[in-house]
Amino acid sequence: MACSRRNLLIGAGAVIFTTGVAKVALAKKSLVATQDVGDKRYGMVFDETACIGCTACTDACRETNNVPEGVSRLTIERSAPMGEYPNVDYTFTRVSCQHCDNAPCVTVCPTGASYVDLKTGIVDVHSDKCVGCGYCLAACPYQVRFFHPETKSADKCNFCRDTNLKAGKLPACVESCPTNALTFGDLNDPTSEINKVIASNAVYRSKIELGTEPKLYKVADTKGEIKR
Amino acid sequence: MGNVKLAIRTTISFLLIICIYGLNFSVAAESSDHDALTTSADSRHQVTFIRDSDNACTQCHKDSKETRQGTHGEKATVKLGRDLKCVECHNTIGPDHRENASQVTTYSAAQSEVGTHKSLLDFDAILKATGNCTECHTSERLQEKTWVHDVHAKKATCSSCHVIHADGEKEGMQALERKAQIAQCVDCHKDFNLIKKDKGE
Repeated sequence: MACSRRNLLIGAGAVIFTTGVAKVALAKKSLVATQDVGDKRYGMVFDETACIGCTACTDACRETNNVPEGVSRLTIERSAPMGEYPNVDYTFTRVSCQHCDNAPCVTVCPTGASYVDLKTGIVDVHSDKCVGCGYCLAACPYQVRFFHPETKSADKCNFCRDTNLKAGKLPACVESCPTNALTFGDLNDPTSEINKVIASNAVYRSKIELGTEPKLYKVADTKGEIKR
Repeated sequence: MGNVKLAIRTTISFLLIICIYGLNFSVAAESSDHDALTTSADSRHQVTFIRDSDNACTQCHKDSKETRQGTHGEKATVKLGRDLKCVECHNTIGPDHRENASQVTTYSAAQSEVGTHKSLLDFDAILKATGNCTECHTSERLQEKTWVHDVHAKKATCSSCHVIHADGEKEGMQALERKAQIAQCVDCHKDFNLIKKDKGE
């Protein structure tokens, strides 16, 4: 049986074409929360109007990511009371890593421990590369970094990249929220839930004037002062 | 036979004599008491109530006094300088209060938003229902304890989270660990969300 050069080329082309297409098709079908599938830009929306300040999210985060007491990747900040009894109200806001596209903590890191994962847009830390200089803690305009008491390296929210996301689930805080105040998803996908929420609400991001390009959006509460 | 009859007759007459003798004594005692009262009217006799006003309640609600101790027990007595009585919280008890307890002030879980488990009341009804509690547990003191009181002031009754007649020690919110307390928030608020979702809001 003769295998001409032409046939070989056609065959090779067919193999490349089919595997390539198959790969793209597979990638399209994959879960939103999986990470190794291409250029995602994960972001989050925190709806201040929906948050009730129960802090179920902070506890879920602590459990899922083994964050010891005394430090936290995520806190919910409560405002001072507004109004008089029985109409006293509060506002709540989320304090956690904003996953900046232009992250100062990454720029200042001398060892490359702090990095933006290009596949997901998540800002994360290689704990084995971190020397504990603390530059990133000082550089972060949102003051959300801390030294992990056990690993002694800088630590912060990474959207549960190595825990829940890896397991194909949503971040722990999103899963635990009883009022659906948190929306997580791919900002690059125009049809994603997060883009719908951003498009249909009055959202803001903290300290955008610094040029950090944060990916944590907040739906502003209708009452009280916006905490920028 | 005659002996038996005689024995019965003597027994009956003996009993009769004893009864008359006893009656004499009691009448004498009453009359002397009556005399004493009338004579001491001008010498300012101090009358002290020895009757327990809760007695009528505890005849049926046997455990209620003990089950209250965990929440409104010693501490409340020290603060008030006296023991709390049933009617101080459960006022307007009518004579026919057993018929669905229509007149008695009772306390039950209720909220201003539609939920699966708790009954629904409007803001005014909730404020009215908690009015008796907030007389002592003032809004300032409640706020000092936790901000959660503030946001639920007109949205849930106290009994939605607290158990007043707890068995022995504390039950309800105060007995729970931080995590279990948060679970209580989640229980109701998740419920609201699911109901809203079902309605398609």
